[in-house]
Amino acid sequence: MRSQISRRQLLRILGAGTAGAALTACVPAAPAAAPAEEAMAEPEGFDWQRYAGTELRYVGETQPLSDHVLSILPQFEEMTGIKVNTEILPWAQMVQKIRVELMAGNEDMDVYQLPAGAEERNVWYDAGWLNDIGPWVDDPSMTHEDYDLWEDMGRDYLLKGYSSRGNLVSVPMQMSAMVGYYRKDLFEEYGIDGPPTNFDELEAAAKTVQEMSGGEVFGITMRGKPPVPTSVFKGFLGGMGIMWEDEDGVPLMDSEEAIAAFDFYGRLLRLYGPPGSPNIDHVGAVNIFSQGKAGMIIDDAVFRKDFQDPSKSVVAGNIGYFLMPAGPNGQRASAGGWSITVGGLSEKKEAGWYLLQYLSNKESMLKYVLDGGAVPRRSIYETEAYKAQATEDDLAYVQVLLDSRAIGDFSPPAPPSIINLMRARESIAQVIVTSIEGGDVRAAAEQSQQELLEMLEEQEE
Amino acid sequence: MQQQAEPNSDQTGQTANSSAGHPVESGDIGQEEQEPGRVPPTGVMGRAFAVIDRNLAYVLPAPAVIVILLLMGYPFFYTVSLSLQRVNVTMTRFTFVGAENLVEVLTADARFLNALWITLYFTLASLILELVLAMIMALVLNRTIRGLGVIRTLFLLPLVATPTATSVIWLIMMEPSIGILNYFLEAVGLPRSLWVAGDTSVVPSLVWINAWHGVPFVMLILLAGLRSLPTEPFEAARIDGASKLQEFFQITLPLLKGAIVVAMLFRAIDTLKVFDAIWIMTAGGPGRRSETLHIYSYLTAFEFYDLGYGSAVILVFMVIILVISAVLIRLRQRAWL
Repeated sequence: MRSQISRRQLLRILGAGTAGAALTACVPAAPAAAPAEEAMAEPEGFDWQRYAGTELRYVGETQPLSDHVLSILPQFEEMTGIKVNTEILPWAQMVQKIRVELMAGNEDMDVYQLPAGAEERNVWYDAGWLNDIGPWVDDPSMTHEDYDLWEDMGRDYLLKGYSSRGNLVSVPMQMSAMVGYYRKDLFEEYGIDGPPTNFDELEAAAKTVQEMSGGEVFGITMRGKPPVPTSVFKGFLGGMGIMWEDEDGVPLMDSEEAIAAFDFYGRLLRLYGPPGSPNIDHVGAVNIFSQGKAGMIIDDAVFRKDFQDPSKSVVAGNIGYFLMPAGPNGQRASAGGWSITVGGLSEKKEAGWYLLQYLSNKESMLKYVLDGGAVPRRSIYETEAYKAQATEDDLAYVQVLLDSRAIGDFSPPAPPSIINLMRARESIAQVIVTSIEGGDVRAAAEQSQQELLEMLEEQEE
Repeated sequence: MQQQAEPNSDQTGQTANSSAGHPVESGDIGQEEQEPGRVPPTGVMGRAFAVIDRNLAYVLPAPAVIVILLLMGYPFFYTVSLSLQRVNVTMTRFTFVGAENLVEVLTADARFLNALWITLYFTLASLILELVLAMIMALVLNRTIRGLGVIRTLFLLPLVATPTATSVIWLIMMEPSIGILNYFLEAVGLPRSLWVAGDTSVVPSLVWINAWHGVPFVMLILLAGLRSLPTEPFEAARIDGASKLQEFFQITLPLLKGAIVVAMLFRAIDTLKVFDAIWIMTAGGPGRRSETLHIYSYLTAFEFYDLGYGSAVILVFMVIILVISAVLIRLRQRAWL
């Protein structure tokens, strides 16, 4: 009981502290149009109209995915008779809102963009905040026969990236990965033989660009400001042959492989990156690359849109893509992408599933792809509509994404055993900062390892 | 106006009466005697009004006191209670751990010490820089110059600018590769600086920006102080043949001590509080080299979702601020003796 009360109090404090994020959370109760659960009696046909009259809430982030969702909602409402109220917020506010409402036990968190990473997802699942989606997908009365999720997206892919305790809990809406972008024009001018395929070529290319341009163009730009670089750094760790932790969940940040990865990442930015890299996050790095100040960048595939937009980028049209290069002991690409889920506490789960199903069906996803998105449904790229519209650049981009998926690592950007993702990221990113600045990487790595072990210890108490 | 005068005088009379008469047991009797025309209290309402009348000194400020208690007391005690608990990441479990967080902050947290050092370094350096610059500007402005009003208004502009907006502008100007400040440095033949992105230059850069913000305020107070100085000591000094420097250090400065301490007191509290500018420009970086106690406790509580520990950090910091303020207030009282 005691913890119950202080939790409520906490919510109030949070509400005051986060400038209204929680205040706006006081949404009116949904109308009493309860779904007809007796409808289960007739299992044969699938009927889009089954939950007509229901009112749903959708909470998403201010980003292209939500633009897409908003653009197809009118058709969904017309087809199903389900009304959808949307709340589109910037990332931080969205996360705060979803968390706070779930903690408060709100029953109208119906459909939302899932902000929880792998380990946190388990906590959410255990708390009953997430639904087991698989049974719906397999139930012909709940899912349209053309939906085809398992085959089209790949069962492995879904279970690796979007499940909890072995159960599918959300549907990926977007296929993303950490990929490399390079300046085709500069590479040609300086006689660099195609994009780098391994770490040595990556460093050599960065060096060439930096030197041949007389320092006018940096060789490469990547994230350096804690906590964000760990998502990119993951690929470097994979190249050295390890990931965050061993099979027993013990972090490996002071291992020789990790130190080699820290060294390499830091050296790239120290020697061939923009000055002040420890203060540059993904936004900064993306700006530097779009302003033509860097020869390469390794970052999220979603930024292609910005790079190829002539109103935002001076290098539009001169960009090529490459797969995360291979290291001496492996090749892994940090993979992922936003997904949408049906709230476990929602009173209107079934109608919620209808919405999620509609958003992620072939038709909607094809539209999303034609509008410039990238989705994990492989069949989309085989359709005539796509082939007719896709440019060479589109095809190259999708190919890199599909290749990334094949060597994809879906672990979070920090050791998965540690629940406090942000704290772990921040700690590991400090080693990256030290490395960029040319400090004692080994000492920093040992310190981070120590901090991670303490986090694990604290967690067990 | 005349109509209003009556109830007004009545009210003040009553307040004075009750507040003066309250400590005495017979206060209510005296009041009844003074107002013979009043109906004696009957019924619940009547008695309630009588109680209010008698305790008017407490009733009238009560709303303000309640608001203050709610807005300041409640969060304070809530922070204290949070600092005694451990909160898990999803904030679903609160465990009472006693003073464990506080003990860890004070004895075993290198990051806290780092943040404390940076906070003090930042604050002290800001105060010194602001005092020197503001003094120079105040001395310059303390003459009759043509267009003084315009100059003074221009000098005051940084004071009214929003720190958030100016921080973004400074950040752009300090950008290491394309920022305009490095362009100027190069133009006059100086080496480029990393400004807020450099490990040693970050705090001095932040100090500079903070001083840019604070100097006008300090200057205003010093200028007011200068204007109010008596002229006799200066005349006497001039007759005795004191140099300008002697005049400044031995007459102006000692006489201005009060104003200086007041300005520094305000600026010290303001600077210890700075969060927005640092958060926007560096978020505590590079690494943790500009991580003040505010940044550290914000990260802990709202990025790492460790509310208990974050509360403990901010609590310790509050005690430190109280001590520093107490020392400065003492100084001020002595300076005015």
